[in-house]
Amino acid sequence: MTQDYPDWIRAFNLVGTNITIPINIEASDVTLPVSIEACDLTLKVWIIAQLVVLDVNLKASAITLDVNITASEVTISINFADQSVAVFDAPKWFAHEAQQVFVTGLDTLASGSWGLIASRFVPAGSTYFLTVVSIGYNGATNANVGLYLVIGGTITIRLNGMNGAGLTFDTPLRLEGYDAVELYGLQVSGGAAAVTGGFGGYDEID
Amino acid sequence: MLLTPGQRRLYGGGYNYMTQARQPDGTVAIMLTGGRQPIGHLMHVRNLWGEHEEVLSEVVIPPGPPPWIQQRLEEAGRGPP
Repeated sequence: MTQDYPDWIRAFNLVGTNITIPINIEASDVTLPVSIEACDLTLKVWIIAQLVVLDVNLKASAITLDVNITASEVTISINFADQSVAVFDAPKWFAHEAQQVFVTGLDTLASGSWGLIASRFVPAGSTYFLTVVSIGYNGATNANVGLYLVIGGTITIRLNGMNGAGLTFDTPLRLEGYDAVELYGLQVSGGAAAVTGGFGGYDEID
Repeated sequence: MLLTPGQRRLYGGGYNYMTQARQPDGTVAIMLTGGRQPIGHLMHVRNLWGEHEEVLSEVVIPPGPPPWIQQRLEEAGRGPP
C-alpha cells in the first residue's frame, strides 16, 4: 500500500544524557532504501565524541561499491589526522605490500642468434605481476636487437629496436606460482656481442 | 635433493634482485640480493633450471659496504666537513 502524504514532517529532537536508538532488523531479505529527491539536499553526518568507531563491514561473495558524483563542481576533502593513515590506489598498494622483484641477465650472443638472457620460476604460493621488460646491447656499432618474453612456454611479447627496447605495461601481466618467465634476446650487429636485458614486477603472497 | 641456502632463496623468492650472467661454458653466475635477508648469495650454477641442476660454488656476500668504506663513512660523519 502506498500512502501519499502531501506534506510529511516528523521531527526528532532528542535531548538526553544517554540516547540509544537501536535498529535491529532480522529477515531473510532486507531492503532498506533511502531515496531522497529534493531541490536542495543537505545530508550531514556530524559526530562529536571522544571516541568514534564507524564500522562499515561488507561481506558478500561479490561487492560493488559505487560512488557516483555528477556535478558541475566537486570538492572531495578527506582529512586524516593520524600518524599511521595511508590511502593507496591499487598499483601503489601492491608496490607497498608486495615484494618487488627485478631479474636482469647478460649473455654474449653471435649475430642473429637468439639466446636466453634472464629467467625465473615464480615461487609457489606467490603471484608475480610483471610490469616492465627491456633489452639492451653492448657493442661498438649500432645493431638491431630484439626480445621475446616466454611465459609458461608461450611467447607473450615480441619487441624490436635499434640498440635497445623496453616496454612498461599499463596493466601488469599476471603470473601464477610455478610459472616460468624467460627473456630471450637477439642482436644483429655482424659479430658476437653482449646482450643485456631484464624484467621486473612484484610478488604478491597468495 | 637438498637445496643449498642460495637455491632455497632462488626458488623461495626471498629476494628483490636477481642478476644472471651466462658463461661461455653454459653455466650461469647468479647473484641474489634484497628482500628480508640482508646478505647476498652469489652462485655459480651448472644446468640452471634443469633436472640435474648443480651448484658449483656459492658465496655469501655480507651486507653493507666493506669494512674500510664503513670506517671512512663513520669518520667522515663524525666531525665537521
